[in-house]
Amino acid sequence: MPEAITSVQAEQPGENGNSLPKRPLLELIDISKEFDVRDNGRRATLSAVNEVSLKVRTGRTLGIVGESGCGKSTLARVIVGLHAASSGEMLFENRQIETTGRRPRKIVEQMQMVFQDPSSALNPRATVGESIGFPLRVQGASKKEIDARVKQVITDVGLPASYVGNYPHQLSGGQRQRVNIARALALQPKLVVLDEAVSALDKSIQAQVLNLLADLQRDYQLTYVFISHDLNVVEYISDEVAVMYLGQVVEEGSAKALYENPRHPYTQLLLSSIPTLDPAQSNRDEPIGAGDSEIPSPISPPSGCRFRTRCPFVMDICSEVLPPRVEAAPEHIVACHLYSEGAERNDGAVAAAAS
Amino acid sequence: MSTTTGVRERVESMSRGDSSSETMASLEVRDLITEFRGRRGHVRAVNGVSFTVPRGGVLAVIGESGSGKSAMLRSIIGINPPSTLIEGNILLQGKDLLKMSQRDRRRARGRDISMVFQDPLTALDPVYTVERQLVETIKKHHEGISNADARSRAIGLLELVQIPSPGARLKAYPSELSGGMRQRVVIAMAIAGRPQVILADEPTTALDVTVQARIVRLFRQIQREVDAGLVVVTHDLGVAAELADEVAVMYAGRFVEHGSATQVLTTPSHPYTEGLIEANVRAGQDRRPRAIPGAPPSLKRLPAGCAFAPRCAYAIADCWSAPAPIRDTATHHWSRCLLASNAATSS
Repeated sequence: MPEAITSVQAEQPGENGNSLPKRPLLELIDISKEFDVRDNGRRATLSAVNEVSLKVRTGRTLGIVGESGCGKSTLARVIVGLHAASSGEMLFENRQIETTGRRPRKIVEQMQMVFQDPSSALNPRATVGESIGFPLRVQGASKKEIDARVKQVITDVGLPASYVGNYPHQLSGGQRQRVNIARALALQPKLVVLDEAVSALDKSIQAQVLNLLADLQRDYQLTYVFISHDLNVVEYISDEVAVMYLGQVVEEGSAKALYENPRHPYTQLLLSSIPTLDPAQSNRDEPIGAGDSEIPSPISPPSGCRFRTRCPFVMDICSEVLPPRVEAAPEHIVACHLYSEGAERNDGAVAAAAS
Repeated sequence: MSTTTGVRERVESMSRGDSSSETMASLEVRDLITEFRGRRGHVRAVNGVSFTVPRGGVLAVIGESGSGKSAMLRSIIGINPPSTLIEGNILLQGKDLLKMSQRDRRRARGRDISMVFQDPLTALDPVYTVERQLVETIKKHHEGISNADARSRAIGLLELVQIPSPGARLKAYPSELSGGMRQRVVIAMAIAGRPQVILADEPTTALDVTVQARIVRLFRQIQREVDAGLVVVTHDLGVAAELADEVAVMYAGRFVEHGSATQVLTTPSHPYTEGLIEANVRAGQDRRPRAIPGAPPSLKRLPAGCAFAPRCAYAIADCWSAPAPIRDTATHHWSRCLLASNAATSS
């Protein structure tokens, strides 16, 4: 068993780290996660996350979008250590951390997660104060310390301090999610992974929680990994965005560049599926084009490019070769053969089709 | 008292206006009240809702959770707990569902009026194939139909909802289909009896965005093809915009605004509707989304005046004292707001 924490770089993150705000807090290198499953009675391997490399910068938000089954929730769990990765490396503050086994508590504390369903994430028999204070109790804090910290974070998330004695069923969905956020913040983590954290909330409540998350990030220099299927919300809250399809990152870049100029045909498909709020702008009465909208099974994903079975621009090479990651523009990476060398001519065609 | 009568008259005249050609209306709901009665008090989830949906038309009802929109749909199809009090009229081709015998109502359900639920997995029986469930539904609605005819009808239905290789899919169990395919099967079952009205409760909420986009368009086109009226309940304004001809906004058991989808979603006249729209994060948005302050009121303790007044940025003293009147703001567009004015006359 390798040592859990090994310094991989001579240069230690020091006090002057703040002068480099873009420095990655977390770096994923070729992270894969496979599950052993049974497919029609036979043993099979489900490749949920496949060689994902991403950087999450300090104080910033990395958004991850994709449809169900794309591996975004599995990736979230691998990041915080709820799943052991099958392979790959992770750097947290430039130190290599355990990805395939148990992590030391010191690392675990610095990465917290907020889940989608605010109700099932809370113990119904524990008061709000007990739930928020639990991680501190595990840590061995004194009652006085716990009470003070609970009072602090419950106020931070915009709930009255008097709520500590309440039970989850006495709260609304939005208030419960605030409690979950408070619990995640109790140990003063550096990274918070939000997995569909606002998706189950009504839009008016969702807006409140989104604003709260933005304020907390500013006040405590938090770094977020924000996972959602809601493309507009991800665009709004994220600095950088990664698009996942069948376990792989197909495109990543700044939120602005990616949404204004999506390169990968899958990103283009996703963005064109966002419903408009104005019926006059809708193409609702146009005939539905043919084409298979089915996502292939991650148990036997297509060879080469995994998106090729749904791609309108599919070429011969797509089934043979896994598309390399190409820097289509500075800091804007796309994994698609249309952008590989010798295929520049297609750039115009894709752009035209996207507009 | 006089204002309430005035309101009622206006609502009735509006619905009468809409349904003047009797054959056009697929569903007419008048003054629907749904009250859940329990030992610890009664909760009026639907508090006097009236609307008409023409054949081939789509009404979307939007609002937050707890606004009563699902309770309204369940009352119309008739699947509330037995202790529920339901009053008003639910007219289907002039016949009142609430005055029918249980037997007639059961017969109408599925044949004349059908419902699509949010989660297709719970709507389908996991232990039977698609064929068995679809054929069973078809046989129920077409007495004396042969197995072979029912099966070919089933294939026809799957083709209508654009399921590729329908013959093969008939043999599948629900668990073998993707979420989008399952919801297509549910829609196929809902139109199997050629109903006049389809009710849909958050039909695309459980689906991925690329699938949702297709299902919404498919739903709209099929509903027109079978010439059924569609009442869809959703919290997603985007789904309403993509699907509906008319939009009604529900708050604390009542419609607070009703008009064409374009009117309501682009020129809202009720502060609550405005709040719902502003709370949405839109494409390319930089500014913070504006949340509606507070939470919906408890249906057990509704305020004396306008139910939205406690959360309303525009509320004046009169809003707290008496229920808000219904005001026409444009042709076929009204708002239950004291401060709403007719754009045409005020400007």
